[in-house]
Amino acid sequence: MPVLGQIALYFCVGLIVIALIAYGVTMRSTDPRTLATGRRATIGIFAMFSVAVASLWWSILTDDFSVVYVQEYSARDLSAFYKVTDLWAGNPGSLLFWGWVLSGYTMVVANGHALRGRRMAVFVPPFLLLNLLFFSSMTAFVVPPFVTAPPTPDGAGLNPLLQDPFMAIHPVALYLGYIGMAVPFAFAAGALASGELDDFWIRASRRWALIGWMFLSCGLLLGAAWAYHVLGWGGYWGWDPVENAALLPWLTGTAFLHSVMIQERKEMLKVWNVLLIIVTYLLTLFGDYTVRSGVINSVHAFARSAVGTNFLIFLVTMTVLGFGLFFWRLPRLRSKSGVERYASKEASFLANNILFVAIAFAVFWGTIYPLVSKALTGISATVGPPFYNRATAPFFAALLLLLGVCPFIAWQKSSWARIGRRVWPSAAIGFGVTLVLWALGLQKPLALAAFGVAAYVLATHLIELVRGGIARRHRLREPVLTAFGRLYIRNRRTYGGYWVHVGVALIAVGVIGSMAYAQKMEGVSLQLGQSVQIGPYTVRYTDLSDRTVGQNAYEVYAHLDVQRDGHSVAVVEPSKRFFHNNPLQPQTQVGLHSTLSQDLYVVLNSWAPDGSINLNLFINPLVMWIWIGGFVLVAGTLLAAWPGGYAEAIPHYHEETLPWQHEAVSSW
Amino acid sequence: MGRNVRIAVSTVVVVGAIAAVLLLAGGSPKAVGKSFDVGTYNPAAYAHQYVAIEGNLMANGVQWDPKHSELRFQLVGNNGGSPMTVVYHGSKPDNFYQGVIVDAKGSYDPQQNVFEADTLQTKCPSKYQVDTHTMGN
Repeated sequence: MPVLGQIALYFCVGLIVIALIAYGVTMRSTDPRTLATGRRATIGIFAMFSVAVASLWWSILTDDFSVVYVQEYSARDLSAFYKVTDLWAGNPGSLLFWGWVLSGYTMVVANGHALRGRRMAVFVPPFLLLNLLFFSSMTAFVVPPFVTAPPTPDGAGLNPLLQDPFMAIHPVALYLGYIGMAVPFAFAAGALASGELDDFWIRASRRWALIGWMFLSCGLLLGAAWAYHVLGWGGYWGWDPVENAALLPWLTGTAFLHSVMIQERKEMLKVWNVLLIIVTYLLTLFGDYTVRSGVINSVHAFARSAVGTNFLIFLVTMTVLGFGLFFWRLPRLRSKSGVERYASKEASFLANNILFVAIAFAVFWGTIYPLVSKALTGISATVGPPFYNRATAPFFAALLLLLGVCPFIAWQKSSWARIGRRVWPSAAIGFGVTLVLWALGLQKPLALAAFGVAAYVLATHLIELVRGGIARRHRLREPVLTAFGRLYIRNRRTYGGYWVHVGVALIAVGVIGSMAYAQKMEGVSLQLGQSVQIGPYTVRYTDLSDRTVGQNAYEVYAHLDVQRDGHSVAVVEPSKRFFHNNPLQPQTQVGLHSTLSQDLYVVLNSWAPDGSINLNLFINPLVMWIWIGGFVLVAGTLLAAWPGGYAEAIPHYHEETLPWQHEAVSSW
Repeated sequence: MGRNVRIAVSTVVVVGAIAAVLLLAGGSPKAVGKSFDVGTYNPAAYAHQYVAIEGNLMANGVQWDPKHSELRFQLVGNNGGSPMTVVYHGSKPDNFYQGVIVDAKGSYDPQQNVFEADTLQTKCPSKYQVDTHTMGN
């Protein structure tokens, strides 16, 4: 099987070259036969990548330890689930996986209906094929996953920290997001190359961008959940360069998703949109380069290999290509009209974009500053969480403020008086929440203000979500569920967006609560039967024991009885898990009692022969809302991206003519 | 005010605001500080200054006192040199064994001749995306 996989990769490279030639010839000749050759080749590329992926999976699942990759990342006693995830556990496998997904996307774009009959059909796929050429060359020649060696009796096994459900799917989600952003970039580059500079490329790639953004969001959330449940330091986001690298395209991608609406509706911001998607795509490459090169000091561990250098060359090449096309077409991209008033939807989206880009720049600067410092002063620098928190918090706060008012701002021109009349109920709710929290004893002024702003954003959107449905029900005399269902489905871009905003506000609530009001007790030693008090909980140590976990591990766990107001409310069992193949590196399993108001988070540090244990205990308020907000965000994105009837209706967000009114009038 | 002037003024204001925020955000050593390989770190020159040091964990020097949550260990530079003793009060990282690369943030105490760390990060040097452990503040 490894031989088959390796041969398939060579075929991939060959077919990609053939497809590129076919598309190149078609650009000159417009011959439909060469175009068809290019299209068919993309199917062949996907088929060959599939064969290669199947070969590697086969080798892993059948414990073929003659394959070096299987020796390094798998083991006989590894469960089938984690054997499947072995595919993306190592550098060669993850590059192969990347290429496979990208080849699937390329096949769909090249053979789908979106580009049929358009001149861009010849220009879009080559940009995806260039990416594929790079990834297939990496896997075929630089870090091939099918290298063989004398068989070993067993493998080294998957790193213990990767043997976690969140981490198993986190890279997949992240890759789907990264790769998804290559598609709108290819559409933009294809538009620039072909000269078709209307908004077709935006409409045709909007769903790709949305889905890519959704997967990026999922990847970030899953990574945070993994860090929270497994790393045992009590947090979920550490501003590590690799985390930042994933956040960067999400930030610029979010800006892009907003600004394209202005181009769709007003033919404005053409330059900005092209620039944003080029930058977003380049940031996905930068993220991957950061992960694989080890050039920036990160708590994640990476080998310095030829992959990093090659990635840098590819990154530079695509930067030159992207910006070259951009500057070539710049004179034709200028918009005829501009923002007429500050009190307008266009201006609010522009402000939103500036804030997202400002955050992205701050994060990017912090991430590369060690390199800049080393180059300029000879002394490397370390950039810690305080920098990122201070640098991004003002912009995030401004974004939240904007988020709370955006549904009330009309296109073209609105008036501050009208906006004020619409916004005051939610502003009053936000202010009221701040006062109530203050009255309840919360002290920190900044956190209180932030809670107020989050409440105001939630109120704005929930009022809009409910008001539209009620109005429709009254006008059309529909049952409640029908009225709300039809309203949301027929205006799914608008209401999907609102639900995404609700998700963001909920995440903000969780982040504010957990950052401002967390409590921790580190290094607490307990003898059997002793208790410790943290927050409202009394944690009593009742037992220390061990047990087998799956086929390849056992864990030592402490049995802790959690009481509140004298009543037992939960049992938590923090543990250290030891894997047969890697006994020196245990995996922390956090003991967690989660409620909507707070998490009791317990880490078992160590234990002694006398039965005593050492614990870290945390109270992390409102963390549950981060995960709930994540679900809402993903659901909202799915609603906004869902195809079918009404899917292409451009959002209106008009203060006098709300979406339900448009729809009601049209269906009356 | 013409469109170009408005754009220019807006750009200056936005860029200025971002620069100001970045400057203010980096105003403490815990936010933006110096980082050294242990082999090139001159502790006497940076006594009591908050810095980051990176080095390879030496197997023999690890002392873990679970009762007091005190971890004492030695780091050596990537290219050798004198080892530095580090003391950290907190949890022992899961992947704390010989050869692991440790990033420690804190300051050098000349009286005790130790580096007092308040943050530890460890990483495995050999594989792609395998080890992560972040601790401390």
